[in-house]
Amino acid sequence: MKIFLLILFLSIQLFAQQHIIKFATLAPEGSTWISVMREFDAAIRKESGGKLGFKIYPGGIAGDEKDVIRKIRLGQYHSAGITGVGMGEISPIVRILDTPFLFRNYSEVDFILQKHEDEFAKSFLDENFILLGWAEVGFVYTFSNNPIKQIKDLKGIKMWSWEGDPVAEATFKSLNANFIPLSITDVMTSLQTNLVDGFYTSPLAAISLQWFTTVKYMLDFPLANASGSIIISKKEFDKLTPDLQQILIRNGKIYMRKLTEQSREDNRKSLQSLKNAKIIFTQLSSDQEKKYCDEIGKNARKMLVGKLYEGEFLTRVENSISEFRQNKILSK
Amino acid sequence: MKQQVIKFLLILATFVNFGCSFSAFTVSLTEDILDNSVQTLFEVGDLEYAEKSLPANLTLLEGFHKTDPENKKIALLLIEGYTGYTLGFVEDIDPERAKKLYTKAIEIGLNVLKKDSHFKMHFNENLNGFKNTLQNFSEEDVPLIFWTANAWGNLINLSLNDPEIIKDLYKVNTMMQFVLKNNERYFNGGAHIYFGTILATQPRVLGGNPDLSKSHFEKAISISKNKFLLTNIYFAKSYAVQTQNKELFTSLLDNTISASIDLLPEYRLINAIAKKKAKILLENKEELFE
Repeated sequence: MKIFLLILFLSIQLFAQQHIIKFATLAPEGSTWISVMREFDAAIRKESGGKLGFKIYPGGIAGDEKDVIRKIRLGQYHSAGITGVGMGEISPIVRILDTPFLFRNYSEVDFILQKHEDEFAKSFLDENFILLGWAEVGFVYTFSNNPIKQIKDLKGIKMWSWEGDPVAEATFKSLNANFIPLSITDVMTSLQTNLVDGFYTSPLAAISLQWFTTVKYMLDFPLANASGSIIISKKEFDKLTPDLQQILIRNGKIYMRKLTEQSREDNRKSLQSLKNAKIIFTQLSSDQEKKYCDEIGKNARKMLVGKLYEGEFLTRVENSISEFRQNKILSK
Repeated sequence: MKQQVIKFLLILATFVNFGCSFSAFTVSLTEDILDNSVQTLFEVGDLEYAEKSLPANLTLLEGFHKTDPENKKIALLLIEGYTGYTLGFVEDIDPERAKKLYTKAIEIGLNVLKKDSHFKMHFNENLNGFKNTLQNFSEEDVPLIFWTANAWGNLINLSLNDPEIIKDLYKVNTMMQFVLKNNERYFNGGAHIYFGTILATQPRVLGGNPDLSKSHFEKAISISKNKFLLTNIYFAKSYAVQTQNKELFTSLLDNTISASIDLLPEYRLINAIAKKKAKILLENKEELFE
């Protein structure tokens, strides 16, 4: 009887100490996202001596990003890998990262994420979420059936715009483009029926979703950088002992950095695969067009003031980028 | 001297040609024997025996295929053999090796299909262009198209982090649509199993359609009269997991485990493989559901 009680006691102790974080994402099993998440899981299980781990729900099993955020708030899931659309449900200011022509390269992305990390993290915390790390979708390009060499060429394209996304709406209004808001689920059919003949997404997504099979051209000048992150509910995080919290935070940074780098590599490879698939890459015809893009980006960001963030925050982020570019020029 | 050289070359050419056509003739004589031997392997219900004997048979088939690359029947047996062997014995334990074997099967299939000028001409085109590749093919080509696409779909499924491989998904879809249109019953509704899987594993927001997936699986089950157990495996691991239907998952796999492999004597091996996969999936049940 004593032995039985001892075993029962030990089992309860073991059970009480084990924390399984239910993690949901749209990324499918077998993708880079899930491979890195499994490594993250293995690392925290090892470091915590089996006290902490993830249970991963890939491929949209838990629903789309908005559903997942709602389910996390209800306590059904605890954590998620999300893109700008999901993050915007929690922290609208983060959507500044998705605005057009803000970044010219990945060094600028990394600089801004680092410089304003505390503000972004606080915006999540205010809504009872903890930011575990950034994991972007990557630079987004414009694909079409007619070549784009100048911004005014967009006028002749029926461009898909993600329905309900304020950033996409501001972007295409600022570009003075002919855009058609549609749900993401309708894009492939709409491309096949010619309801739209242009779209924007990352090179990897253009291939994974097979949208590239419906177009001939890609403008080789990124429209924006699509952000992403993994978050955990504060309620769940607070259940962890401080040492487990540290294990989670520390590894979150390590593995999300790894994911970011692999995602950048996947997108680089995807650009090559698009070339192999005979997608023709067009260039903007002049430097003036590129400068014009900077203006368009600024206009779009102004349109979102009061909706997603305050003007003062926008100014600080834009100043940070200018400062970074200036320092780069000086260091050269 | 020059005349002698020409004479020698002509004699050599005659012998080489005769040698080649004689070998091809021999291969065509043995193709029925080979067909029967592959069929016999599929009828074997002993997994260990099949796992050990399949590689030797594939090597033999490779030899015949090299001797007579034009022989469609040998090529088909080889693609079938590689795909079946990889699916049953390699994929779950060594995905990297499985990718190589699937690639081999795809190359053999595409080489045969590219003998058709239309297929070759439109092969590298986008979605609308690629649809033209299959216009010269008919119902009798369904086996070759199905097995090539099947190997290709399995390769893509193992390579979701490789854009160069996933970019060809539309080609596989087009080939499987051809199978669906020309003989949906082929390989116990194999094209239905393919679409059932693909429509379930993509999130709804990215083009998945669980309802349509379910109707494909139900169609495949009705085609085989629920005797082809591999359908249950794909139904469980794609649709049931994606919709988090634990009850369906359990019942499909329990039924697979309790079913007899003799339900379809010509596919004893595949049914035995399905039973093995059912056990593994059931062991991982708690990982897959809330």
